[in-house]
Amino acid sequence: MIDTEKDVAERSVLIKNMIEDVGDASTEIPIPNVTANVLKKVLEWCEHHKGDPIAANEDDTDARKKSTDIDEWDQKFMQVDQEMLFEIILAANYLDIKALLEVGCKTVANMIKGKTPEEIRRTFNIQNDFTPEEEAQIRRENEWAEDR
Amino acid sequence: MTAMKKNASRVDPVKYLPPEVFEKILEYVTYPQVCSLSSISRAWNAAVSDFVNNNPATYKYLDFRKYDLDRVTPDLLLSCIHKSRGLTTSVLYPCHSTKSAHYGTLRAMIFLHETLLDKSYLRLKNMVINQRLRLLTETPSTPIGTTYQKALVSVATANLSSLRGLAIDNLYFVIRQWSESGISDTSALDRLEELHISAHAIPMLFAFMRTKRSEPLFPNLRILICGSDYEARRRLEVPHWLYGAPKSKTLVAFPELLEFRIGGIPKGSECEQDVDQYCLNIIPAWMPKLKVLTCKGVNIRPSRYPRRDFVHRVDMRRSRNLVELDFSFTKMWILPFIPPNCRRLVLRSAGFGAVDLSNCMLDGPDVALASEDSTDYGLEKIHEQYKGIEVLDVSNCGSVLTNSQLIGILSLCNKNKLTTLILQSCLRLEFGKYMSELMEHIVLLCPNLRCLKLSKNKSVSDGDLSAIADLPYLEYLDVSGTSVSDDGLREFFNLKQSKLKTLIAVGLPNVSEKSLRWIREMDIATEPPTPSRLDEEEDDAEDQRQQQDYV
Repeated sequence: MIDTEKDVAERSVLIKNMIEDVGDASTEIPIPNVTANVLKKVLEWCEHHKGDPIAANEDDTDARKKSTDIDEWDQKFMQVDQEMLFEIILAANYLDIKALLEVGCKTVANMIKGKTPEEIRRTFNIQNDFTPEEEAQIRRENEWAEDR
Repeated sequence: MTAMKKNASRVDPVKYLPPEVFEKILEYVTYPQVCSLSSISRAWNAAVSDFVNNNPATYKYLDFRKYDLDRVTPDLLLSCIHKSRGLTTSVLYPCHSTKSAHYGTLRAMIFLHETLLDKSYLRLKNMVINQRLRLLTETPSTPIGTTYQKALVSVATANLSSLRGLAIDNLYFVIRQWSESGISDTSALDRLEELHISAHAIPMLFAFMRTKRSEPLFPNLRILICGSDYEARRRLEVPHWLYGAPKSKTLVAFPELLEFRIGGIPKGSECEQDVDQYCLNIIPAWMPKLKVLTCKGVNIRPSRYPRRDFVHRVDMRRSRNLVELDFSFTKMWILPFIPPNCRRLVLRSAGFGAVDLSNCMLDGPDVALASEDSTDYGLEKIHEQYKGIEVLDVSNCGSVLTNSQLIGILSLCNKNKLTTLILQSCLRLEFGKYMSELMEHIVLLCPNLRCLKLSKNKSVSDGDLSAIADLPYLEYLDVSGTSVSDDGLREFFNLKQSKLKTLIAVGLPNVSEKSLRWIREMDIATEPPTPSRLDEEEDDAEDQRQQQDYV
């Protein structure tokens, strides 16, 4: 069980809805699917960002979409091992914390960006399960996209 | 042990994350890289193709500028396009910076373009078809050559009905195709509003129009830009297969054209592009709506095959809508005939060939200018053409423009209309001599000047300043890099300068900081507000603007 303030917890749309359902901010709210470890980390992020305006709606502007810039604090915050990073992304997705989900996805995207497929395999420890013929075929299809 | 631990913290995101979360990550990756991700593993391949198929709208445009186009074959390109089903591309940057291109790429681009919707630009700028391909096109029996020709013909004709703007270097081949295959139906190009071609294609395009067409080729074209280009130094004659009698005497080849630009900024001040004078003299008849004509860095030479009534002079008199005329960096034989409503005439770094206006002072400019073709146009008419000019820019005409020539030009202008005179770096002008004779003439001939720039003329001295003081409306004066001194400036201000707001005085060896401070105390600026931009920068900005337009 973790104690936290109402406005910190309400960064999560899921928790916000639950609190509204219960009608009392001092009650315990069960969060299955998220381990205490991860939840602590998520709440640390919410604590730091509690003052931020919450993005009003789905209306994604292109500018925000394209940029993978992450602010310094968030970058530090995301310096965790990969499993934790993915757990945070999953938790943000489950708890419906849009901004945190975005930061998580950008972090992973930055791990992918500019790398060759082989480098990405190494980064995420992925087994290449193509047959040599299949791989050659796919390579040929995408040869044009390989930056020089 | 450590290896295991290292691996333990490495997790395949495709397996760990649900598809909808993984797709959020892919949204931050560029399209070409998304494609390359499919070769990582079977799971990634599946995830990527799901993503691309589920998100047709994610990629609003494809940017191929970074890629080596020789490796982009049509099949690869098409498979990539099929992957991004429903692409609503309005911009295609296929080969902005690439110096060579595969014939197949061109074909693929065209195919691609056919599949695109709505307002589209096909930009083949800087596309240079390499030597190999040119050889092949000259032997059309080989299959590759045929494909390439087909591709160009389809640029030229069918299949591009949605095209609004086209930039293509190899108009030579297109015209040849048109000409040899006797193509008459070019209705697909009717909607074209903007055309960028290489400058050497101009004589050819015009000759083609004249001999093969009885109606306009681009009836809706508004902007025609013929840049200086990779073959600019090559002197391109109109090819023999384009000589012949005009097909129609009443052709209006570009009925809607508003802006016509020839040439770019040449390196140094060399004229790098030859343009047949005939091409310019046909403008009044062919482009009745033309407003802006820019002719930069070209060598306007007399037509090799002059018509009987040919005048050795650029003649724009019948272009009544033309208001802006720019002949910077251009070599011509004689001052052009200016259209009657011209308000802005720019002759920066222009070179006048064989003209000698030295008699202007003695006999009056009218005689010197009129003697040439006085049969057709009387004195008044020649006077007429310069009447509307408000801005005259002859800066850097160092090697040619002499005192008498400048005065000759100024006497043609309307005294009351001319408000801006730019004379930067005119090294052969002799100010300061004979009691500032030249400056006194300028003051007499242009009493309404608001802006006068004299910078980098070393001969400008204190005597000239006191002559300038007689200009009652002057607001902006630039004397940077001249030899005016403290005394001259003091006397200048003592003589009355109520309207002057800016006096640019940079790089004056004979002027002390104290005087400058004294001038500033009168609320007069002494530094240029923003450093004047170089022409290249202007071009860059222009390029950026265009790209923004495309997006």
